[in-house]
Amino acid sequence: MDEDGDDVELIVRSWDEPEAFGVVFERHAETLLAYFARRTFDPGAAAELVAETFAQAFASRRRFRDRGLGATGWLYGIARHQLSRFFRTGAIDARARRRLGMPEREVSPDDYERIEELIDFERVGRAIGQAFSLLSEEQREALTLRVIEGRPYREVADALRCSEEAARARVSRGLKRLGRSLDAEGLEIKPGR
Amino acid sequence: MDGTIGYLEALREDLLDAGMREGRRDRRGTWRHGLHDRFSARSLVAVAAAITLLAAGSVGWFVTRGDDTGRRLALMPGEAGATGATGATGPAGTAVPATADEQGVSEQFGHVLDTDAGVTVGLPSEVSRVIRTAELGLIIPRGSFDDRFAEAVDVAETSGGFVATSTTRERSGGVTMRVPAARFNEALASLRELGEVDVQTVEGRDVTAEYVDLQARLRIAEARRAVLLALMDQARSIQQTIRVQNALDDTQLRIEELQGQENLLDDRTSLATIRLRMREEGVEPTEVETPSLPNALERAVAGFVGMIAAIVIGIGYVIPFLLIALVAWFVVVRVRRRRGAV
Repeated sequence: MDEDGDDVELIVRSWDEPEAFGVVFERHAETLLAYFARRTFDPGAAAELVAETFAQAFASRRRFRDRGLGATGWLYGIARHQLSRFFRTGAIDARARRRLGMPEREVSPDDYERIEELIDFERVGRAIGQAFSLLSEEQREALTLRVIEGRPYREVADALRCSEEAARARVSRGLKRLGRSLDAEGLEIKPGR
Repeated sequence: MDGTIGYLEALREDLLDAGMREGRRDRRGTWRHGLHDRFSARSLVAVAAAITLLAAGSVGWFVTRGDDTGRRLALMPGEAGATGATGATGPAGTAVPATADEQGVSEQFGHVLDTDAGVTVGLPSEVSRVIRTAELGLIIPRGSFDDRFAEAVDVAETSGGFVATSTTRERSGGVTMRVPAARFNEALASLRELGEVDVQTVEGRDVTAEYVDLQARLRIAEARRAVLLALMDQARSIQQTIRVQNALDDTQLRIEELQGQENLLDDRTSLATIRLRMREEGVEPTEVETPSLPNALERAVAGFVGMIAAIVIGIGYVIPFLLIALVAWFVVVRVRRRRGAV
């Protein structure tokens, strides 16, 4: 909360001294980049989303009002909006950057790898493995046959010695449960909200 | 942040550069930028709409102030109702509708009813009938109210009329008098001499057509009554008698109604109405109407309608200028953007 208070002060100061905004940027840029990277699994898109989010925040910093959420709440409000727009349309807004006259930057190969590191594939893999192990034997088997091996439901049913309806129900329940455990791990793989 | 990601470093520099550019632009057009940043587009639009409405309202008010359009528009429904009501009393050339009873009677006594066609409805050679009303507001010297009031009552009596109503306050008051139409102008002239004329309106409503129409309908009804009376003598059965009697009753009722209307018109046209108001110098004119709830409501509605009318008229005046301003603004923005892009 203390840091948030500082952020608010910095943003208000940046109304007249844009340099103050640089400090806000330094505080939040990397976590925001990780936020986008873990949701899009696309380093290029994540970088651009960070750029647009900060451009919008900068352009509208005079309209910033502390409504109890602090600067972080405000910043992530913009970020969520950008993300859902990206999931919905597949495109990243560039209006704020254009208005500010900011150049388009490419993500260098080095950056690309570093951003991937932010996603922390190891953690993602671990989370998926853990979530998978939480499923029941039947669900795990059904998911392996249907999702990983891509077999039709009739074959899945034969292998599991059950009706096709039951096979479908197991796969669907298993996927739902998997999604829930991944959510709990802080991995938001489902696109959109 | 330890600068490991080059993209973020570059982004930070870009943002600060944008801030620098903004600072330079700010010095040129602070108010515009500040305006844009401090208020959302929605509130700007709302404010613009409010200003436009206000401007339209005041323009409309100025424009209509002279001719009282607002008030006239506001009063229209009431007036329409009033004329509609008087119109209903005498629609020109209305044939007296035959009731089922009368039709049955005429079938049975067709040969006698032929005489009905022979009744001529001659237009009476009447002089024109006019309802005269006058409003007179007088300002009289201080301390003279009681005398002048008595003199006004005298005028009513000497011209063969009478005082219908009167109200007196301490140093002001009013008399409504009825005087014979022939002596209307004479009475009005003597009243004018009582003081300095403040307001005077004289109105004459020509009701000759209404009057002629009434008389024609009265004649037709009377002729019908004569025919029905003749039929009454020829009726041979009780049934026939009853049917003729019913038709006769209806006709009699109609005749009485028409006579009532004729009497009213007679009274209105033979006696003119003069509403006189007098006040001593320095006394504020008091509203005659007392503020009652229906009255207040009526005035509020009239005011509201008048206001809307003023706004509509005002918008008509403002729209062309608004369009020109819009085009100009558009051009300016275009030019600026092009210059900014280079």
